[in-house]
Amino acid sequence: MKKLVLTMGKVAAGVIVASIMAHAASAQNVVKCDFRGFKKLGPSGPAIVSGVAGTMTPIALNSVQIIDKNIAKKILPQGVFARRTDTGTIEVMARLINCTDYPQEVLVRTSFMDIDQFPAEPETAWQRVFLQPRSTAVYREMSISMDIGYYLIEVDEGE
Amino acid sequence: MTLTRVTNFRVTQVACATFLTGMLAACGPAVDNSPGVATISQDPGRQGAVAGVGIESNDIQSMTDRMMRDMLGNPMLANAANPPQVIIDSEFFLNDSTQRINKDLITNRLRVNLNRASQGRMVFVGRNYSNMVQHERNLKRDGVVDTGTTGMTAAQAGGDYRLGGTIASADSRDARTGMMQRYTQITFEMVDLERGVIVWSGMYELSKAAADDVVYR
Repeated sequence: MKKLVLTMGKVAAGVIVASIMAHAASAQNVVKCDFRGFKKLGPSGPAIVSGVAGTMTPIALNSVQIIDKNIAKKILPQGVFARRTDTGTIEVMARLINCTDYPQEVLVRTSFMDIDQFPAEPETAWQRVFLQPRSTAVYREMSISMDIGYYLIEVDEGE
Repeated sequence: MTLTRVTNFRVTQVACATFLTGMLAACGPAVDNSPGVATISQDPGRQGAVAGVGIESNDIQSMTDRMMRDMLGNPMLANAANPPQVIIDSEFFLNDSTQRINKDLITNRLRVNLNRASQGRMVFVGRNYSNMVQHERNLKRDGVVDTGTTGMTAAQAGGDYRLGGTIASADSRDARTGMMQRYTQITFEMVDLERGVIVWSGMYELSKAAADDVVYR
């Protein structure tokens, strides 16, 4: 009787372990961020350049700009997308990743410019975005004017 | 006996004089002339120097900006063949929260920015100015003043849609630490004034916790 109980116990334990292993195999690994590629990434399009060469770093447009050093190694922009809405305005979206083991909070805003890089409208209000550890969060914003040529998304540390 | 009385009287006199001198001296140079805190100009779009758990300037800017952009992305409101006539004021924008707040701060910013941004895609009816308009209409029709340059209409403009909404909150407090927490939910809805259907909705939520004793007025 004792042997039977032991055998049944072993079988049950084996089933549970196998189940956990199968689950672990199907789950994705924890997100790891490699900032080297992002840092090497140069301007992707027309950029604002100082009149005196070498006095400032060019800011790539149609991109995400991290403006605070404190979060430069914590928050990684994974993707930036733009599309036209039904009313002709532009909707931009940035997917951000929290590369730390702690919850993060950032403020994000967008500047929409016309084809000549002049401001098409006042920059948007700062929107607060919360990011859970090792997870993504999406920031979305829409323009109010229709003739948008470029945009710039800025990410600052949340107060 | 008499000598002792005189001595005691003099001692009392000296003590009183010393006390009064000391009091006067204390009133003089001991005034606190520290400069205090100088005025700080702040960006209303960012959290200010005095912040609590309620709705603040940066929240108002953020929520109205988001609602305005969302409305302009709605084809029913911003892409209609005939620009809809909308009313945006605080008449049906209710404050059911625990915070005292001037609702006009929200609705005025929303209306002004939406009016500037829509560029004719929406027409805004100033219902709060209806008495002023009616007074002028009466003067024109009584012949007291001329008809102006833009012509006369049969009646004032009616609204196709009107803003409604609610500010609601849920408060909690930790009695041990004194920490306060408030979840605030602000809903915005555009209601069809003929059929009563809601053609657009937006929501803004914020949750804040603090132990500072900030009072909202």
